[in-house]
Amino acid sequence: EQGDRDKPIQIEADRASLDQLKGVTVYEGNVVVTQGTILLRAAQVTVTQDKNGGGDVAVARGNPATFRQKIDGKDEWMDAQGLRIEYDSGKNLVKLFDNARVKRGQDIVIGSTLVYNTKDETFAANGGTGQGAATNKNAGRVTVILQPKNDGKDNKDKKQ
Amino acid sequence: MTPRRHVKLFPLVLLALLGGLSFWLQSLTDWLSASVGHDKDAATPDYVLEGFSATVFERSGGIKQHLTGERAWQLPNDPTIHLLAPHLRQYQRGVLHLEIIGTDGLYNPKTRISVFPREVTLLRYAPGLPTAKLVTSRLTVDTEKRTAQTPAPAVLERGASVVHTTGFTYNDATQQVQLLSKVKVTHVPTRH
Repeated sequence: EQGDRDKPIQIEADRASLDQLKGVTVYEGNVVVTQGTILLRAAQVTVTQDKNGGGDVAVARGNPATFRQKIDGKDEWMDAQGLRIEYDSGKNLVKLFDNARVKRGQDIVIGSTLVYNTKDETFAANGGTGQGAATNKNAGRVTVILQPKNDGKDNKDKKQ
Repeated sequence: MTPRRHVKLFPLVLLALLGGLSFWLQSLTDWLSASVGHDKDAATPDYVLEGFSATVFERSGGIKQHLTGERAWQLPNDPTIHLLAPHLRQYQRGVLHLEIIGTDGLYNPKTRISVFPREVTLLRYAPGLPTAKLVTSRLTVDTEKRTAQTPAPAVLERGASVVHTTGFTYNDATQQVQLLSKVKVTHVPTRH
């Protein structure tokens, strides 16, 4: 949701380390990041501070790492996962790599790399040759499963 | 154009607190280190100061550090200085910028290691920023190596941002912090 950006961020982890000179923080072990409706779960999250004072960039790794956010103004959620997720809070982008998958409402997109814009809630998919491509028969291809939108007409037909 | 909001995913409150914890005890306690080594009864202190107050001044005459406490004493054949309710205030150009308030404290001028074996609070002030505060039930500060660490739960706050951890190590020289376990960071994005 749009209001997520203003909400407090909460990060829980088994341990963390910060290298101030490099501007890098690493959270490890059962990492859970929440901000408003955003929920990111991963084995490890590395946060790099933008030296120009912009938003931090978080790289989450897991098997898989998962990212969830409520769709603005709807009772629907965007659920994403990948072996690696990059979340750039300054540019509102969530990039999913390696066995990437996004489920939005009932629609599903699968690919090697997916990029989701949390501001306008759009995403772009790329088949690519990511990790696991060699073993995955659908490697290099994007799969999109769109559920027909139920405009309420079907129910009326059934009744007649 | 709406101001870009900078989302910081790790508040630097710990660094703000411990950064340059300028390992103050040396200059303040040198004058306390009475000559030790004579074979007196080790149980009776060499000296006891009740309700002490010590001040160190800048070359310019301004106050640099001010250490008060309920009691300070030293035992024969032991360089360790024992402090009860030590309260250190540290100034920069006459402005208070750091306070350390201990339940008690031990300082060894030879190893230059200070130990706060019970609850200790650090407060750091910076112009235009909320006070940064650290509370833990044990803290060891190595003046020589410029490190600070605790195995105990610690809470660090600055404004609405809070860091909970059980155990941390801080290295002032390398500017690295390790939060050892049960880490919980709550950070409220600030408007810029």
